[in-house]
Amino acid sequence: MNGMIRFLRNQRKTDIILLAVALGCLIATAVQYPLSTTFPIGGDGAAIIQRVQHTLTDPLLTIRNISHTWYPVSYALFSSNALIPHVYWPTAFSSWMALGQILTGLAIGRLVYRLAGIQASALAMGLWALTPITMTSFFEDGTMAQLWSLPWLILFFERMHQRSLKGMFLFCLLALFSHPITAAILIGTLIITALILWIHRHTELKKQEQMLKIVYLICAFACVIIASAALLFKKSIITLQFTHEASKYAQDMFHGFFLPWLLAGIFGWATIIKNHASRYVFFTSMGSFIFLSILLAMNNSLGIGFWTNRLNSYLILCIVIFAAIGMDKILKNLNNQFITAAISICLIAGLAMSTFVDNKNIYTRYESSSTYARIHPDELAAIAWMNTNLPNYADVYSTIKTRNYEWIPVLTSLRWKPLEDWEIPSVQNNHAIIYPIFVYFTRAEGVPEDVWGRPDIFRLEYHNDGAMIFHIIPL
Amino acid sequence: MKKQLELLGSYLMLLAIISAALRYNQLIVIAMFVAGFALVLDGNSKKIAYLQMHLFLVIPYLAVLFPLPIPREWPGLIRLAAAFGIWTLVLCILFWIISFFSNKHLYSNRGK
Repeated sequence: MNGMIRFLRNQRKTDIILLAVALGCLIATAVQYPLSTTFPIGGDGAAIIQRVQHTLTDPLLTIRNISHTWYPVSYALFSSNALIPHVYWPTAFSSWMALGQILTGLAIGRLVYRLAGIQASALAMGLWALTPITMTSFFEDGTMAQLWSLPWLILFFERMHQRSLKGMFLFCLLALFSHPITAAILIGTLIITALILWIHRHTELKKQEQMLKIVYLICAFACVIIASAALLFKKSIITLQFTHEASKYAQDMFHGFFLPWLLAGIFGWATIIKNHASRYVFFTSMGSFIFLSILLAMNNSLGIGFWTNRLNSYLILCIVIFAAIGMDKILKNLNNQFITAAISICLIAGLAMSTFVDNKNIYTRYESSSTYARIHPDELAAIAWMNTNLPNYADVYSTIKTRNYEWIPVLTSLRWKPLEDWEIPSVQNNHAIIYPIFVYFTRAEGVPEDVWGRPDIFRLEYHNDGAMIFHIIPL
Repeated sequence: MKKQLELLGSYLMLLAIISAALRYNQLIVIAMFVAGFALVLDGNSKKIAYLQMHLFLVIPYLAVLFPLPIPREWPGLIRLAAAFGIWTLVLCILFWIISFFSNKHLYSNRGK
């Protein structure tokens, strides 16, 4: 704390004001999500909560659940919410997402501070504040693990800049086990950098850089072996099915409101690499990361279209980091402290306000019960009814027409299993199932005639405008 | 003179950023930015090793402009890996060529 106060005392007043504005914008656009919504948006929230919600009551189950995922670090951190008394997991999830967004902004700020000073750091945090919903899909998709992998990735680069091997190792591990896409990008970055360092062997690097180079080559070799082993044991990754996805952010990035930051980012890169000789390993790594990020974000233009929107966030990270450095350089060239601060504050605050208003409309749309953009209040009412009225040995079945069904095991203590319509007779004939229940969320799918017209077999237990719950009478 | 050009370039780039934020004509924005960029460039920018670092931006741009004819019947991730592998190879080869010339340049300077 004392160190922080001392640090702030050493800064110019204009820089402190700019930093406060940037932090305010970062927190405002992130916290807006949990404050404007009553339930998480996106399909992944339920699956994530289900794995960790019994941390205190059944820690062994949670450990087993976490160890069988691709995101152990992200899940382990999220499970700490269990320590909050009477936690309501859906709300905790939205707040945790906001915290991930803020932490990523702070990590970006720290890295940019190392590269270009406090003004650039504030600009970077301010720019990251413009990204939720408009340029990244974390909040809308509920991709908590990926969002929580970003701070570790950025801090890995920050530690590399400071030539801290321990820090690099720690954040590398955290990033690798937070999300597989981040891990793949990090491994790709390590491999490309190692190749370039190997090619560049004639150049005289500093002693510390030489050590980093050796560490790099060893790490890249280890990563290749680990990644090959992972692919060997999980061959299904290679044949992963996906539908071609065009980038919904490309328009804004190349023609819309993010274009100035893309241009400033190119200038920022051109500026910062002037001193690359002194930190050759760091800048080569950052360059490799930029190279991979651009290719991934634009992979639909390469004729592939693999998860283009989710992969866009890494390019956004690069643009934010280097746009802040570029913008800082442009403003410093003006040689007027007051004008510099005024322009920065007006730009950041103005654009953050515009993002805030845009996002407010989007959150309102998600909250509206008429749009059915997230789980409907009628469906929540049906789930609440099941929790209070069904015996805890009841088995709940549903189709997988909507991911809203995934909230059943999260919000109740009942077992839930997804089924196809044609599998219903198998439930009916299975005498081991004592109390089978079939749920239909009628906004997503109609109740089939076979079910609706057979009250002797499918007894209607509960219904409202959005849900119907049937008790299947065993044969 | 150099300082004045740098100032002019910075103002041009700042104007371009503000114009883009206000959704002005995109071509004018880019033209202003490029002009400002050119004015701010200094002697350091002519160094070969400095140019080398720009390959990280140029190669992906080329990749987008010239998509590789990778067979469509291959699994998606294999196509992704193949595209990345080939462009990484291009990057490394260009790095090696530039590095060869920059080292040659470096050692030739040392001899003088």
